[in-house]
Amino acid sequence: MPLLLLAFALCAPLSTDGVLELRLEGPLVAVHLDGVRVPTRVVTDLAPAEAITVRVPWLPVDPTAEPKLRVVEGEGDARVEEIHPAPMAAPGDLSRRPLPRPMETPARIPPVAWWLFVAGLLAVGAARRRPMSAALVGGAFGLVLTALPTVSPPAPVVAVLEVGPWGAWWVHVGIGELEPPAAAHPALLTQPVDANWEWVVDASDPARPRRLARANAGTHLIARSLGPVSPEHPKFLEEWLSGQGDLEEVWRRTAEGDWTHHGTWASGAPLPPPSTGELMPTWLRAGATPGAIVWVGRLSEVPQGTDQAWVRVIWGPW
Amino acid sequence: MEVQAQTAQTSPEGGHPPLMALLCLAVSVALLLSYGAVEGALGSGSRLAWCSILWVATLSLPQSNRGEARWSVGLGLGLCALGLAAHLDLARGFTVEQVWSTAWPTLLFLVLMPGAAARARKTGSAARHALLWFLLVPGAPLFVHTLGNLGGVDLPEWLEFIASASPLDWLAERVGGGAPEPWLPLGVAVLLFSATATSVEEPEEETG
Repeated sequence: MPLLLLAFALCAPLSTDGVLELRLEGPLVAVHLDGVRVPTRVVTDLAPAEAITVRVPWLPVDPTAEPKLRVVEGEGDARVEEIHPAPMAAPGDLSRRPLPRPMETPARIPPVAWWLFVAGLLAVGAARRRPMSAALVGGAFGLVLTALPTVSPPAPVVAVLEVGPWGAWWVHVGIGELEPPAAAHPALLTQPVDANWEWVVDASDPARPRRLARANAGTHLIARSLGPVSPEHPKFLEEWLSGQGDLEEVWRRTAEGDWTHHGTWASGAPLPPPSTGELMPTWLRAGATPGAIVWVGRLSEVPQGTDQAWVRVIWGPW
Repeated sequence: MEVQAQTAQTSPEGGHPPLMALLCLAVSVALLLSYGAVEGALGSGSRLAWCSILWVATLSLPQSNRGEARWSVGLGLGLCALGLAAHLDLARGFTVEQVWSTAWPTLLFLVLMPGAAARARKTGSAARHALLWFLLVPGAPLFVHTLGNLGGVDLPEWLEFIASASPLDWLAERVGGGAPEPWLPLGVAVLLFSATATSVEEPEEETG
């Protein structure tokens, strides 16, 4: 496996994408990076004499150019302390796997609005002796209901640990916003392809700066990062999977194409016998060539910042 | 409106909403629930526009001579439901402009058209109102939809023009995300209102 990874690294196109280590000194509010393929900004709230160091994705237009910083708001200073190479890019085979499909939770009417609605109906009922007053009361409640602050459900983030002969890679997918893992390559993919997106490094809380990728609502942002060491041969797959944590559901497809469902699989325990169970999402079933061995599992413990995590192994045929 | 206010003061029983308005309220609430079946059936369409179709159709119905119901009480209930629908649309990502562009013509429809029905009953022009309402509000769009869309018949342009003047047709366009101008349907609402004012007024209570 290390040889394979080395081969991928050597075959990868020359790129100077990297991660900048910036030293920010207050008073400072916003710093932009110029000459980059993806708009990148750092927002902070540094008072005079305060200083922090943050890591910022860097995707230069010109690979030979030096990083260009522009202080947009504030009188402090920003300088590059160090340029780190970007984490390794994902292998091409990974992009052939169907992407996770986060299911957006539809917005709901909050309980306070329902209660206000019921109160409105009662108030209209109470004012029914003066019908025009009832209409006015209804109108007033309608206006208040419309103006109530809305609560939109957060867009879900789904992660899949994709495993194949080329290794194990985490694929994180978010809609509109994504906080990728630190080990992810800074050049994220988008769906639709070439959709506009930006990097925002929010260092308002110096103890925990956040690297957020943001795009329009509906745009899928896809980050890929190297996962744990994967097995070198399919005969070790079962043993390897049993060490990846508890799995709430497990499905398996043999090389002959027969699917079996194995229910909950506790870490370290033997694979449970086949049983009947729920159907897995369609996108997890797709992408396997005939004759390949497939394992699909839903992880009980999800990585930080994700709502749902899966592991999918597609191996062979070779 | 003055007659209505006098009626309210003189009626010891007070008013109650039309029975259809209560039914409409129940259906509106069902449309605003976040169930998979509702989401699947209505898709990404504006819930405000869906509910507006229900309320405009219900409250603009020709009113009975007998009956004690007050359309304005029904309007009060409807405005509560429409406020809730507008809130849901805003939470689902509709902009304030999109919601407002559905809301203001709907409010005018809801004042003019039920007002026309109530006035028609008072002025003795109920038959004329009922005929106009049937032709211009549900009749023309249903006719065009049935013959044109379902039957595949090539309809004359004037017929499609009449159908497009229906407030219900305009609201159906809003459901689908279209943004047609509301002036023609508003003209129909004004026509209904003004066409009911020409007969001799009778000193009768407004009921629905």
